[in-house]
Amino acid sequence: MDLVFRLLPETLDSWLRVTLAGTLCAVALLTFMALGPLLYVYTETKIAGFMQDRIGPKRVGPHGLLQTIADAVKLLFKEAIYPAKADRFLFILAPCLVVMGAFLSFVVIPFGSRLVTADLDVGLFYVVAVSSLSTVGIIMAGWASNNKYALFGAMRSAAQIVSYEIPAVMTLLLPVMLVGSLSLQHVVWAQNGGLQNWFLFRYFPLMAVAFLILFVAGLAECNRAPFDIPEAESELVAGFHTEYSGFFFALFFMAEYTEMFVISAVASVIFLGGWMSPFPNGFLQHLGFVGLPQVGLGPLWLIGKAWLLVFVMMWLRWTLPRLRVDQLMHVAWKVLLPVSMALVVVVGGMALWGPTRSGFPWDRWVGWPIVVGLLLYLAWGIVDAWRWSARRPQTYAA
Amino acid sequence: MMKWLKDVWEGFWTVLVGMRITWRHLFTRKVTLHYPEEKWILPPRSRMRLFMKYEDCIGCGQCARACPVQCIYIKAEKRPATAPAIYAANGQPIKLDVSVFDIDMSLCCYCNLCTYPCPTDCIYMTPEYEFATTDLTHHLYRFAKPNAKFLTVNPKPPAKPAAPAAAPAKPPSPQSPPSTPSTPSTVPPTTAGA
Repeated sequence: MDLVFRLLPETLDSWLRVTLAGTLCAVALLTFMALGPLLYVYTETKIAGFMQDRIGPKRVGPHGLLQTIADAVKLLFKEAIYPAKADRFLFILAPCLVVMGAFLSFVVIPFGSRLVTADLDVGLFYVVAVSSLSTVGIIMAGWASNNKYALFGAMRSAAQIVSYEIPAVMTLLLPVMLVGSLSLQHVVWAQNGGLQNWFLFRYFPLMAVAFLILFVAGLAECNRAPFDIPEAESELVAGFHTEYSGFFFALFFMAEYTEMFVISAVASVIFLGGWMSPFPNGFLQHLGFVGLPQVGLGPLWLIGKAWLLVFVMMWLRWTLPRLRVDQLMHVAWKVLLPVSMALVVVVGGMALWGPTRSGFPWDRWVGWPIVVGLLLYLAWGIVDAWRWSARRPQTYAA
Repeated sequence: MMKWLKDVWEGFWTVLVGMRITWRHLFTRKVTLHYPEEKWILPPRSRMRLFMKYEDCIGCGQCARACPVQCIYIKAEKRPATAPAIYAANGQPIKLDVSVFDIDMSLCCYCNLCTYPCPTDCIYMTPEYEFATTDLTHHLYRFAKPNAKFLTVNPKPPAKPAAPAAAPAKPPSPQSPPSTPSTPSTVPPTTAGA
């Protein structure tokens, strides 16, 4: 926002400049948020198809590229049906709140060294506070629908989000203790200098475990599979959005995908170096990309990392079955919470103790081998899949 | 404590195993058949839409009687004696004028039972399966043609030199009363084969 503020002519009144800059940033973020689901829904349907050996959408546009647009247009033009005994005001307010909860977190996510709407000093706290707004929206939706399935879904959602927010916040404490600031921009700067400096590889196994906990808890907070019991279609029709149709259903849908992106973006800011390049400083310039400005690539790195995590979320969704309610609570209270609390104590102690103040001695050397090894393993999986499908007989196609 | 650790580790590890499987399936060849562009090779003798060659039908009605769902409707009258003689493709004389031969494919159960009794093999199942319509009545196929061109010359004349040899086979066809369509049904194939 500072950037936009400075770009506006100085002849304007300062209040007008602030308002204009804020509005412009909001419009830009809103566009990003509204267009994102078009991409995510398409990739999700395609990935779902591929993982089930199908091909996914194919008819609308080349390779089904326009399928999401067709779906969105359909949803926008559909009639919004209000149940006769629903609380009309809350019924309409609920999806707006859910979207707002997802959208407000965008404000503090840094897309570059200066590309951030508001680098709040309480950034992480703000993210935690604002993202629980969507819980209110979901409960409101379930209650206002006047439908038992919607209410069940809302209650499950409340129980789930309340449980999973604790380990999530516990793991958010770790970078705060290491950096000494709640500002997301400071967290990013603390991971400057390439992949080996990312918080993912600090105190090596410890912060990686914290990252996993944050990721799992984030998955649960945006009600994604395998934690999608609030909208478990096999038991609850569609959970809290059973009664919603048309545009309001589209809002819920958009909120879910936006929340996925926000959680992935926050996780990549905290553990994967945010908008920093994974290569050491000056590495790309050394390779010959001389003219590349480090700052200009920032949004690409952050969005790329976030999309990578969104892909992992989709990958998990099409891999794992839905958890039972008691299993869900078991994971939250008996596994994630004790581990995250132990991590807070141990990492906090490490950060205070002199010899391990800036990490274990092997931290700088584990990052690259792990990442390269993982990539090689995945690449080998691709080759193996090709070899496997070449052996498989194809008897049915003409 | 050890049990808890083992439990957590197993949970984590089995998730990774599942992810490995889905990762491979992401890149395997897809099994989808791109239907209108690609089509299945149908197995031999697959049973799809019925077809009836009207020019060969002798109007015996055995197919309609064999049909378990009564989806074949036939109306046949005795051909006037003054009309020119016409023959089916296997040489069997057609003695009935078939004015109506309708098959309701929306009723058909594709059992293929109608084709076995046909003495002239004029009703059979085709490999044609793309006949969905928006109107159910379009599935009532009318096979009777008002201006069908019948064979006026017997394509397989009853073997003039071998007439005495085929003596036991011959008697049924001249005598063949219209009331017994089942007797010629068994005989002509034997003459055709002989």
